[in-house]
This record gives sequence, C-alpha cells and structure tokens, in this order.
Amino acid sequence: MNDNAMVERWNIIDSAAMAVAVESVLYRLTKNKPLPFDVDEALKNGIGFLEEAQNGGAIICGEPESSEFTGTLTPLVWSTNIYINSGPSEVGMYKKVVATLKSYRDLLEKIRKEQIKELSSENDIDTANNAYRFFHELAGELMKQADPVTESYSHQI
Amino acid sequence: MTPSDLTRVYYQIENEIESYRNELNKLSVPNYPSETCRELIIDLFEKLKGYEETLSKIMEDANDQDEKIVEQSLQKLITKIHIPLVREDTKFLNWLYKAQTKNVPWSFVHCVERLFQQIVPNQKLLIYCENQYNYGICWSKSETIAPYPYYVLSFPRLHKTNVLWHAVVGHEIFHPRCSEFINRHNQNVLTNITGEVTKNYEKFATTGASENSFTKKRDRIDSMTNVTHTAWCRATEELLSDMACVEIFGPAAILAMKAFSACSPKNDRPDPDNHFYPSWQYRFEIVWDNFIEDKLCKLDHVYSEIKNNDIVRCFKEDMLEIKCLVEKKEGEDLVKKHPLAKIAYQEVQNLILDAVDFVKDNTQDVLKWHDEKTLSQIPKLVGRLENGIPPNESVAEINEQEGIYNTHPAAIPAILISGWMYETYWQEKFNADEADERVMTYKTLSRLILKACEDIETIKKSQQCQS
Repeated sequence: MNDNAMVERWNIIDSAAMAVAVESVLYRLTKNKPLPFDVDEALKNGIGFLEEAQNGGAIICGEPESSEFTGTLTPLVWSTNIYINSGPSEVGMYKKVVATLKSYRDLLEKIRKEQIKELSSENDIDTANNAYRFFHELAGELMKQADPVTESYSHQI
Repeated sequence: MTPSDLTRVYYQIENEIESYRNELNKLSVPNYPSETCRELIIDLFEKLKGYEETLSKIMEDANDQDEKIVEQSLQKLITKIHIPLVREDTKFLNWLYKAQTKNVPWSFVHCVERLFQQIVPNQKLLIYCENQYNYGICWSKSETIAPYPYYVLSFPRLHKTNVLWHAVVGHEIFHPRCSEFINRHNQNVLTNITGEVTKNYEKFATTGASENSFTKKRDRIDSMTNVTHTAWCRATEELLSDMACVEIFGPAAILAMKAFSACSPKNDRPDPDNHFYPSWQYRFEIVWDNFIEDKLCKLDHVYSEIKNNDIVRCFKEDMLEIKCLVEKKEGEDLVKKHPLAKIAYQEVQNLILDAVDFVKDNTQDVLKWHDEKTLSQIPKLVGRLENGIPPNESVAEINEQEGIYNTHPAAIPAILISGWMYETYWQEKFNADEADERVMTYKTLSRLILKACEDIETIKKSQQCQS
C-alpha cells in the first residue's frame, strides 16, 4: 500500500555512471587523447543532468526558465553539495551554482554539437578543467552511495 | 591503479554475467501463471548480451598507459555493468522465483493483468508474492535500471489467498498513472513550496534558534525544499491511488483497506521517519468524502434484492462504523503537525478537487462498482455465495429443455463487494457463541471467490472464441 518504488530518471546508479562517463570524456579532451566509445551518450546524459539541476536551481532562485519543470531537485542537491565542498557557502550561492552549471552545460552542448575532438580556446579549456573536477567529485560521491556493499551494511531491526 | 587491477575486475564481471545466465536458465524451467515471466527471461538474456558488448568496448578503450584512463575504465566497468547487474538486475531473479505459479494467487493473476492493461495500457506487469506484510509496485523511469521496462506488483505472501484484501491492487495499479498529474502541477507546487520553505528558513535563521544547524548541508534550502517536494509527490501519489481504488471497487476497497490497516496505527502523523506518508485516518477521510458518501445510496436497490436480511444489516453496520470514523476529521489536523508536512499537505489539499477529476477521467474505461451492470449482479452473487457456489456468473435465463443458457461473467467489483458483504455477515455468525454450522469458513469463502475469478477469465475467453 505504501511500499511503491519508482526508480527516478536521475537515480544514484545512472547518475554515477553519467558522472564517470562525462569525467572520462572531459579528461581525454583536455589531454588530447582519443575519445571513448560512449562519448555521445555521455554528453547527452551529462547535458540532461545539468539541465535538471540548473532548472531546479532556477526555481530555488525564484527565476524559473520555463513553466514545465517536471523533474526533482535531487540533481541540484547533489551538484550543490559538490559546489559547497569546493568553498564555503556564501550569499547568492544558488545563483552562482546555476551560473556554473549553465557554463558546464553550454560547454558539453558545444562539444556535442560541433563534435569537438580537441579544445582550442583558453576559455573552453578552463571551463573543461573545472567541469572535469566537478564530475570527478560527483562521480566519487555517487559511487560511494551506489556501492552494493554499502547498501547491504544496514542491519537495523 | 594498474592494468592488472582492471583485468581482475574484468574477469570478476565476466563471471557475474555467466552466473546470472545460469540462474536464468534454471528459472526457465518452472511454470508461471502468464506469459509475462517468459518474456522477461528472454529480455534478460538480451540484457546480458548488451553487458558483454559494453564490457568489450570498455576494455578496448582502456588500452592506454595513462593511469587516469585505466582508473576511469575501471569505474566504467563498475558503474555501467557491475552495480546495475549485482544491485538491480539480481532483483529479477528473486521476483521470477516468487512469481512461479505455486507461489502466487494464480487464479487472480489474469484479473489483475486485465485491470492493469485498462489503466496502464501496453505495459508489462509481473506479479509475485513477497515475504512482507504489504502490497507494492515498482517501476523505473530509467531506461537501464531495473525493473525497466516492467512493472512489478507484489502481494503479501502470508495473505496469498486472502483475495478479499486484494481489492487494494486497484491502489497499486494506479501508482504509475500519478506522474501525469504530478508533472502537470509540479512547477507551481515546487515554486509554492520553495517560497514557504524559504520563509520558514529565514524565520529560524533570524531568531538564531538553530544557527549552527543551518550550516549543515541537510538544512540548506534546496535540501529542505527537495524533502518537502518529495513529501508532496508521495502524499499525492498515495491519495490518487486510494481514490482510484475506491472509485473502482467502492466499499470492497474501503473494507479491504480497513482490514489491511487493522494492525497499524490510524493516526500516525506524517514526518521524516515515515517518509511523510499520510495517516490511514486521513486517507479514509479523503476517499470517503470524495468517492463514497454520495454514491452509497446506489446500494439501496441492491439491499432490497438480497434475500438474507442479516447480510444487509451486517454490511450496513460496518459501513456506518467507517462513516463515524471519518466524521471525526482527525486526519486533516494531524497532517499539519510537522512544519515541512504542513507545507506539503497544504499543496495536496489545494489540489484535491483536481485530483478527483483526474482519477475519474483516468478510470473511464474500467467497469466500476457504481455502474448499473455491476450493481445488478451483486444480489445474485451474494445468493451464490450463501449456497456455497463460486460467485462467477450472473444468470439471465436458463432453460435446459430448450438449450438456453444465457449468463454473464461476473464483474470483479461485483465479486469482491458480494464477498465483503458475506464477510461482514460471516464475522457475526462465525464468531457467535453458537456458531451457525451453515456458515462457511473464511478460507472456503476465499477459495470460492478465487475460483470465481478463475472462472470469469475462462468464460470471457470462451465468449471471445464464440464471437
């Protein structure tokens, strides 16, 4: 009766896989290495995740971009955790989180659309390095939570 | 991180895939009550092939001396194959074992599948019995994580044949439809919740009541809003599902909910410990006020057609008891005790009338308890139960000499309501000081109803063949 369970689109397992895959793409791009087999899927999922986090953040700021947000705030919460880990919380934090997520999303969209295999502009390289660190941290956090061993730790009665 | 670490994990995952395939082979042998399980087994074999392809591609990509790339490849093996397989796909092995014919109320499975197809068309439903005291349904919005693309419905194992309780499957089956309603109102509700949570946050922050706690991550506005939003989603889903169940099965749903919740607290206030679920009291109030009260008079004609007045009296007494319970209106006050629940449930209450319309619109194709066809069958089905005959068909005309056998398969809501009418009578007679020997046991009653459910599928199939 109240034991229903819906696996969300941005669940821990898919999100951890997405973060690892995007991290891998960004690393290879910044090091001029051949891109992985799943580059398109990684970019598509990365963009989807950032979009949901960014839209959630816009609602918290009271500035939603559209009137049809059907997602949850979970991607925003995870993203904000990573943002806060990189520095203390501050005034206007959510606006900065949204702006940062947007810059990452713009970069991923550009890479996907233009099928970029090597970054040339200083600005893009800088954003790619920051985005790489973001997805690296996110992957680490989510992999911890998704670990099947951790899941079975609980022996509560 | 060395290449040999990667190779070791590669072989481990290869073994996991092979073991899973062996388990699937074993599960291919037993009987299942419907074709869904066979289709699932075929789909899972395909999924294993997909994992094997991904495994090869990741290893090809890892062919580099860069330690970071080796580490990322290892993480890909873990997140793309190991975790989904060992944590999620293994659930299917459990579900398949518990979905075998011997482990489920097989006579009822087809009725549930039919109802599911009417409410969630073109999707696959797997039914099994779980070793827990609850009904449940799970499904996935992810295209990779189990149970995608299946919907998995569980019955409480110790109540496998307790078919009168199974009226609550109407609740479970409606859960997947709720996202349509939630999505429709999501942004507005989320905006309202954000505003209210921010107001509360600022109030606490300015008074300095728990200054330190606000530096913690879990007390940020986004976390609190997320929790409150989840509470709204869950409460809305539960109430929409209750409404749909009661719209279809009427008094049978109410009595099944009451029986199922008999051992649980009625007035549990929604808070983080119970994931903000609405209390039973509140749920009864919502469904009674919006789906039962104004339709109960439709049973007056049914009562007049039932020959055994004691059955009518007992049933009316039970319904009156529920009416008295809901009139206390204790549930509505209770849902607002926790500050975040108060915000979430205010949004729930703002949308109750929209929710009622949504449920009515989305159950239009289902035969409901208050439809004339259903109501007209109930007195005859009660009569059959009294005579120890399965309440499986409503006889219009029989003439053996002229070979006329004109009957209609009973509707599921009619079967369950007649069963519950008999149950209220059974409670009185079977528990009386001098038990009436003509009154059957509860087990026999359940078996007769299960037999009826099995029969109506046979009758429907036979009629489809003839036409």
